[in-house]
Amino acid sequence: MVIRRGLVLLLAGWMAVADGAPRTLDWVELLPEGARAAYDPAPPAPLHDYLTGEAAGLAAQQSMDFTVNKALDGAEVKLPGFIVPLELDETGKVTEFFLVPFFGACIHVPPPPPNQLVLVSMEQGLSLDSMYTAYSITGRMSIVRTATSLGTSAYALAGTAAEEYRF
Amino acid sequence: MRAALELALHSVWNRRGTALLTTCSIALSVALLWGVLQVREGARNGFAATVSGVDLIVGPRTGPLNLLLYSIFHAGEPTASVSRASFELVARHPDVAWALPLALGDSHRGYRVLGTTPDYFLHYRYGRRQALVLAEGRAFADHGELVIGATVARALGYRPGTEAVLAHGLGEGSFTEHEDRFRVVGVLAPTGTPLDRLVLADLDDLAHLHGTEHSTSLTAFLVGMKERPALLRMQRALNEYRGEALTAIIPGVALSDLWRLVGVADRAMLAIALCVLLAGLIGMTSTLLAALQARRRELAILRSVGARPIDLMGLLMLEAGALSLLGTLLGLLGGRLIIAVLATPLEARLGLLLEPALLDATSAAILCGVTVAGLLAGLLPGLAAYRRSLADGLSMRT
Amino acid sequence: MDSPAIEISQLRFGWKAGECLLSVEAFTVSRGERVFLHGPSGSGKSSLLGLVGGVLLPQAGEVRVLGQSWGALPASRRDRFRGDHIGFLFQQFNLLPYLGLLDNVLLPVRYSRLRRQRCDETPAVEAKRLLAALGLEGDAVLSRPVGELSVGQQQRVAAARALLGRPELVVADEPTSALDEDAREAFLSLLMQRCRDHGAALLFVSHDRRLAEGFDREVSLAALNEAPRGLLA
Repeated sequence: MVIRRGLVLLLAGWMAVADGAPRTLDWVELLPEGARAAYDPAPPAPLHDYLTGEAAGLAAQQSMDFTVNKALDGAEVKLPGFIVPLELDETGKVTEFFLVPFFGACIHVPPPPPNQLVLVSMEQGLSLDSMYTAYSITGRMSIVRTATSLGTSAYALAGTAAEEYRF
Repeated sequence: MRAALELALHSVWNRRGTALLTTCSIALSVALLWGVLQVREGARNGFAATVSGVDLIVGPRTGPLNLLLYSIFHAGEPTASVSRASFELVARHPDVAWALPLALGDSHRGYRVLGTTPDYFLHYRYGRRQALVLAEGRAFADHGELVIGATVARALGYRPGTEAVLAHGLGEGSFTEHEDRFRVVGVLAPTGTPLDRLVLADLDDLAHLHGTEHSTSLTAFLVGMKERPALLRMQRALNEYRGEALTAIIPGVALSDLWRLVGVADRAMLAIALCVLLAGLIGMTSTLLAALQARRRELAILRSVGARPIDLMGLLMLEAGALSLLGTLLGLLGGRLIIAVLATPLEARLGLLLEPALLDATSAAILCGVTVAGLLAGLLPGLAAYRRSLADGLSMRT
Repeated sequence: MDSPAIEISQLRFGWKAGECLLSVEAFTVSRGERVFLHGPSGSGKSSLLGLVGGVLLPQAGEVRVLGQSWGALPASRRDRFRGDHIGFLFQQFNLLPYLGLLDNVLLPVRYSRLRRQRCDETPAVEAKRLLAALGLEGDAVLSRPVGELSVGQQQRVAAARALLGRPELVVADEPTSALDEDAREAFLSLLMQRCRDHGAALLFVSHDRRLAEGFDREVSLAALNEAPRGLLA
């Protein structure tokens, strides 16, 4: 079983390296190995104290694990998710956006933890039909250092292609 | 082929009275179609590029589009306000890089006045992270100083040094004009966004006008986070803040929504313009068909000198094509003339900048498209002529 | 020996099935021959001219022009053949109102390369020569809009058009009926002369027997047509 899994991983790794084909990711892979067992795909509890910055609140946040999977740094990946637009170009195409694993991250549902969130920049822009549509974004993943009260690393993706994702 | 075209042109010229009516109807519909396309382009240009690099817009409890409209497009009426205290709370937060307070509600000769801090000129961006540039003068720093947008400067003829009086409310003037006189110290370079139509003043100056030393309430404020990923967390926290009823929106999200709404509207406008064009072409077809009866003699003569029924069909199609071509050229020209006349008032009143080129791809496409459509519209009368001439032969019975 | 200008044999024609409007056993017009066909209106002459011109096809029998049987040609070739070899003259309204005088005369060469080639010099020069020979010359006349010409002038322009490029056959359907008495004789003699110049056969149809003088042959359609009389309205 382990051998088979190992062979598959080896094969996948070899393929990824050999021809640089993007590897389709599952959101759980954005978590570091150790955190996956405890992974709960449901959005985390809201953090009321974030705004006032009360020590208790911040400490509680810091106790949560927001570390990243370092193996993804520099990897060519393909990740499906929902779009939260941040920047538009003159023609209305989205050039910078968050890719999140569930819909409504900016409306009525609490946002995902920082390691389940990817900041994507796409030069050529994505023509967004509707924010209810899921898209698969392809590009090079990188891990950037940040300095916020939410942790020190975050995912960024230089997007090269986008296609609609059908469930 | 050229002979056929010559014949068609002579024939059209001979009936130029009715032909003119047909040409005018096509010209009108082409002008309308082209005009709709121009307005659509003008409305879009700069629309999505109005704001850039702003992570959150925070206002009182209100709809997201409404908040976007008055904080970024300076349109609409803010009815509630945000406390200065909430603004300070956010501005102090360790994850926040900068925060810009906004106060709307005053006007100067029909142009909106925005009260803010000098940081606005540092942090506000539009287009692709483009910073604000002053064409003349500098940002306000002292009491009573104003910075104006490019359109305001042009329309009112203001320059650094010009004095202005601010009126309360949004009318062209007001009956309770403020005592203090203001002075223009800077003019912004054109941005192609609603900023061009804005007058910027210091927040506290405006508060002073309204009788308070320091402003305690704001229309809204803009926030830039140190790291973008933190904005979702901040947005959530603000929307759930128990200290005050707030709405925090992501500009990109609200703009995307607005863009989609606008898209629906302008697709509807385009559909209507195309229907009008279709009506014009149908009118032309029916005019040609109606004239066929009177032209039987003419068609018989042509058959007697060796024209084939298909030549006659071609003649009618070319007539229709020629009328369409002429009508389209007239319409494209007329449209440009109309826009040339309306451009200044449109820009001054609606902020809609229309700068049609003399020759562009859209016009060429319309020219080709309508001419071809005209040729096809001539197909029906052409076929009728074809069949009639077969039946009539050389008979001169009318 | 050249084939005749027109050769009709055992013709049967009717508009509707079972109806027989025309029944002609034999009728020939030789090259260069000038034939006067007497036929009052409604005697089926329009149909006969249509058959001669290849616009109508008979139910039975054959119509040959210059040796070519109309029935043997496909529709578009018939139109071309007509344009190449036959000039038509109608009773009135022969001209296109939206073309100038000269352009009206030049119409046949738009559609027939053969007639264009047969013009000695350019078609325009040939056209002017024909017009002059028919009594129309001078820029003052030639630049008049077609609508302002007298009927007599219009008919002469039409004659020039029919003759341009030397077609072998000219078919004239009552071309003088709209003219007044004095003009008729003059027109007819001009037409006959021009046909003789070019060696063109002339089939002249009219109800007015008085014009028959000067023709090589006079034929009565009533005598030619063996179809029962009752059907003719």
